[in-house]
Amino acid sequence: MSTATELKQLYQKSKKRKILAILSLFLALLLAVVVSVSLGAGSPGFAEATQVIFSKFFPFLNINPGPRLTQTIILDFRLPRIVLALIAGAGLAASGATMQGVLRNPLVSSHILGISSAAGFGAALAIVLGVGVLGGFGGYLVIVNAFLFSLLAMVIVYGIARIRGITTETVILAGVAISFLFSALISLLQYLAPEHDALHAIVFWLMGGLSAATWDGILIVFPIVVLTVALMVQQSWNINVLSMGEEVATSLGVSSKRVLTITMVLETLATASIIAFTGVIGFVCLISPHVARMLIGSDHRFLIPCSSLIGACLLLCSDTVGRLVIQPVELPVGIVTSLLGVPFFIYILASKRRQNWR
Amino acid sequence: MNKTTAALAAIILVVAVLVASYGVYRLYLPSEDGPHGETVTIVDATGAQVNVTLPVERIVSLNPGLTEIICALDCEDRIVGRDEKSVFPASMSEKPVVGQNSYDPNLEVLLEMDPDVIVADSMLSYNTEALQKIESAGLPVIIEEPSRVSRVKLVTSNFGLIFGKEEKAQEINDYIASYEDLVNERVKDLASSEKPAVYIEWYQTWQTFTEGSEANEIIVNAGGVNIASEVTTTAPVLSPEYVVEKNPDIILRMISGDLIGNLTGFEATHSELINRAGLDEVTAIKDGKVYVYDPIILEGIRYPVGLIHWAKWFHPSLFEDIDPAAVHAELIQQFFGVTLEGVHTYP
Amino acid sequence: MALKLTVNKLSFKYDGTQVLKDVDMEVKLGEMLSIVGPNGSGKSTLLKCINRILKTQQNTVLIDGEDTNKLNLKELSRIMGYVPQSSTNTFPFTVFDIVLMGRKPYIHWSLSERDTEIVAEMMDYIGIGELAMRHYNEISGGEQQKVIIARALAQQPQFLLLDEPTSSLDIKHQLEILCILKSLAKTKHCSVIVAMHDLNLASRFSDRMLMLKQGSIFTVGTPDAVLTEENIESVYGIKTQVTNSVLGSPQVTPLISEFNGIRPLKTPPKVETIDRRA
Repeated sequence: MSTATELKQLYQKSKKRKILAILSLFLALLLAVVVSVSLGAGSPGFAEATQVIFSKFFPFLNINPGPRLTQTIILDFRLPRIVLALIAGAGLAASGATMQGVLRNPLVSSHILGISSAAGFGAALAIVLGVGVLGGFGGYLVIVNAFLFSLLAMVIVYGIARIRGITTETVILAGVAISFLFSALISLLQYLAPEHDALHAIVFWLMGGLSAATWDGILIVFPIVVLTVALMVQQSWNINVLSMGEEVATSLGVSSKRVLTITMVLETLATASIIAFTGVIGFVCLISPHVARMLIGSDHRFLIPCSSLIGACLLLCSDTVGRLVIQPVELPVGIVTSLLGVPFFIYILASKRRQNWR
Repeated sequence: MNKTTAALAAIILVVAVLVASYGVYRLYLPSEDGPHGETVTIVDATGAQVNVTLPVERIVSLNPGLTEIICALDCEDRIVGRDEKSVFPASMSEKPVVGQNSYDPNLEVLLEMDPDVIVADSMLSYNTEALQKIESAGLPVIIEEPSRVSRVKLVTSNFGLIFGKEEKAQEINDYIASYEDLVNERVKDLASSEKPAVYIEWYQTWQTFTEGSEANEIIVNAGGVNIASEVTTTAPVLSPEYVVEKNPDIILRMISGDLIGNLTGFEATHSELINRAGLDEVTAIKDGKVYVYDPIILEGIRYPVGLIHWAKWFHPSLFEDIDPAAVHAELIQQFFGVTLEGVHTYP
Repeated sequence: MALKLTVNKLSFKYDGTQVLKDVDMEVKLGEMLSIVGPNGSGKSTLLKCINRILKTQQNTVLIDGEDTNKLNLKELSRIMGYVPQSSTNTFPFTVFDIVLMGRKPYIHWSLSERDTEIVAEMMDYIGIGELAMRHYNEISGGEQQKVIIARALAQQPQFLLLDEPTSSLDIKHQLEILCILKSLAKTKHCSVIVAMHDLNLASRFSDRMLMLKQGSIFTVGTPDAVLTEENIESVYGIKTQVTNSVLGSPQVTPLISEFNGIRPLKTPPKVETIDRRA
């Protein structure tokens, strides 16, 4: 029979183990970054990459950065992509974990509120209405519009939920409805698109890609994602309690309405700002929380950070694979993550290991 | 089931079978009216043997490039139906529209027009149901792709044959050939080191054409080398690192469809390219050799215009005596009788 | 330390149906009160109204005279602990994690030493120490129930509300849990309000019983006073015999030979037999 002190020690030990797991994941991530920056269709490898990076970030070391071409490849192409993959992967995975916990449903992804369809529609609208006037497909209009429409979707879902009462069921149903609505609108737009150039552009946008990563864009996404994820982690206790049921949550002093609203807003901001720059990248937000749960349990204080790390790693690896598998041709990262997602889900279904949900 | 119900069911069944059989019989009955007059057979781009009965008085064209060829052959008045995009020359806009493009013509409208021949691009061959319906109505369909520059002269000859405009067709083909020969003369003896490395981009950022594509062929004809010619995928999206490492001397960028004819659009596209992150060290950017073009100058009858533009961009010293814009204006005036309008290249 | 919970003319409507009507009751510190009544008489609803899972009007639930509606959810959860009838458990948590959630009313972000200590103490007290690192879905029903009670106790409540905590347990676990609840009340650790449907167990363990009929209080008092054959027939509609058990509390035995009040015996409908050999 364990005494109280033994129990306490047992708990501390398990906590330490979790922290250790997260640290190891972090190291693995660093390794992935190093590998990723050393690979590419161009010629710079590990040595050249380190040269460039060290000379740029530690100028006092007076390292020769190497030829301009190498610098361009590393600093203008590979590095921003890698950083964006990390940010996007982390943000999407954290959102996924948060929404799964709050909505008590392991099949929920961060797209559940219809955000990705809405963002897609916003982008499509911008493309079709003449982004060209502002300069090519990368025009800011696309980004801003995608973001605005995501927020719109969230507002609509929230509005619908308010009528019926802000519970997990209404939020999920409303989200699904909005998702279908905007998907249909995208299809309509594609059908009516005046030029098939625009059609193409929409399709590519919807596939998701990191090739347009720029430092300017990262400067915008990074603070948003960091802030929202930090706030999500802060809500961990509320999410833990909420995942046991709304009545239990109320009896423990947690207003499920309030927590739902807060997490919805955080999740939308994070996901919308990411999607606006990367297009729709699927599966990362769905797989990462599951893997994290298998590794580290359901306590959201550890689950959300762990999920973020896994998401960052996953997206980075997918993007690297997409860059290398048929080089110099690039596969959109959204395709790679979707392809990875399928065998993963089959594995989950077939696995007899401890069920990750009821 | 009692006897009355059974008897009723049997009668209904028999009647249904009779009606169905009659319907099937009528459907498969060969059509009664055969064509009159002389028949000419040509082989189109798909390899199909198309029998056209002369004279051809009513034409439906479902592709703007093919429409131009027909108009250049002085047969504009014979066109009774067009696709939405066939709006050149300007008088074409008054003709009724049959469909958005070759893929999806409105079959009812098409059949009502009772054309003697239908010309369309390869998009129609993807719509097997429509194609079948048209063919079973006894209407000859000629499928040609105006962007296939190696076939342009053949298409013109074929059209000349079926429209009875062989002389005019020869005039057009001579014109095209004269420019082809001119360019070929001046670039054929160039060593590979004298040929500029060309990066061509269209649709998506970093998306290019590879070997086997029309654009690649034109690049070669104009005396250039495509940096992506060794890549095997069709129309791939390249890794930016690859492009930068290949360090192209010339960058060609196709204008996107919604910006055709829009000077601001051309300028914006051009400016995006020269300001794109990571390209600042590329030769083409440093030398200011970035060109935005409208794909219409590479297709159909306007092929010589595109060819001469590219040849001059690639080898300015070899083509100092030629002004590509003037060539374009001359072509439009000579074969369409109108003045050239709008912007097609930038700068 | 709160001394008295008062419920004052509590009424509750759900979708137009009057579920509770003018319920008055009082629970003093150290008491174990059981709420009994037929299915649908409003036992669960009453509990949920007391701890504000369901919204009530002003001044219907009072603690030492203060209206609980004036407290926010967090403050209320430091006073009342709740053990629901059934638990949703979508994700796998360890037993320790679940009991730890009971400390939510007291923590802001990080746990303090004290929090972990309290949890450990409660688990030890209830006797589920060995299950600490096991996953909740992998333990037996009786053990799960103890975990939930431990969680409610971790809230350090003054009133512990339980909704049919023993309905799906075997006889040993039923007694175990009720003994724990009884000792909690007796040692004045907290007061216990438990909704039950087993009249005999309620009678053995409660200090007082409250019998509900169709949302109103039928009667309230000691088990002796409440469990009479007339009361039971009036509320449940069956004939019983009430005797004094070996332990001194009244025991109810339904008289199965009397079917009046339940449905009269009917002959089942005739079904045509098909001759399968044909």
